[in-house]
Amino acid sequence: MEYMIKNKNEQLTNWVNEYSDKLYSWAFYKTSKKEVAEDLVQETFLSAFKSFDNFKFESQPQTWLFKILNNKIIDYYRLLARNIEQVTDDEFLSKKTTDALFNNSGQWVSAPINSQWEEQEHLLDNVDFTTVLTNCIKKLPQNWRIAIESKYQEEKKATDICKELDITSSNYWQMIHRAKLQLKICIEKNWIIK
Amino acid sequence: MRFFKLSCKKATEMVEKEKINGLSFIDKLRLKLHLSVCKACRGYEKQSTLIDDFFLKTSASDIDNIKIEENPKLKETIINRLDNES
Repeated sequence: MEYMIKNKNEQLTNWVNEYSDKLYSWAFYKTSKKEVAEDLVQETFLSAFKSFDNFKFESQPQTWLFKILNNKIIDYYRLLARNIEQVTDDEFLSKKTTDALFNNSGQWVSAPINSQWEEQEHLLDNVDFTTVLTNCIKKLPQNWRIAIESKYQEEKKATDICKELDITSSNYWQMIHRAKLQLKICIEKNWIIK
Repeated sequence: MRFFKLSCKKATEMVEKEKINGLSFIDKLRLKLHLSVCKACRGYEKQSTLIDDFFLKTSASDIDNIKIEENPKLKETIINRLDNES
């Protein structure tokens, strides 16, 4: 028994040395917050320690650890999404901007000249365009960004995720709607159709 | 017929609702009808899908493509914590 425990600790220490940087970089990429990423990686190894017996040695430790980490990232987003109802300042401003796209009866106010950017082909392969879009996403109010990014965290269908999020689903898709309108405004401001 | 009429704001909202929750049969019809006559909303729908595709593409971007940052302090913290666990 003593031997087993020692073995387990050694194994995990090796894994920390080998994979923690990679796990940390991934968590940071996904959350953009240093402290959050560090916590998530720590929790990942603690979970791995506790469920070490479930690890099958024929599978890759990296795959296993990333699976645990990705679940932690999803949980993190879920928790954030639950607290989403609070309206922040940047959200208030963005709401005003997106509301201004429509008049009182809900019809589009005049469309800017380059409002039809979607007509261009292979936009997602165009580095200039994806750079603009990436910057626009960064500028979204944090809550909206969380809402929209959590939508793609899993390979699951959006409907499943929404059920799991269990924030009033109407709030959720309204938020996605606003986020996309804001992205539309931002793209039309910064992307010039050639 | 008035019941069937949708504003553009509502219609684009329903585009998102449909992707997430799905729509009732009646709402589906209302949206279809609106999109068939409203070019700006059809444009929105395409843009929305394009943004979805972008997110799907980037979130699938694999772990091997990100820049690795070293964090030796974190390493140490975790190893210490694991020692205390046993």
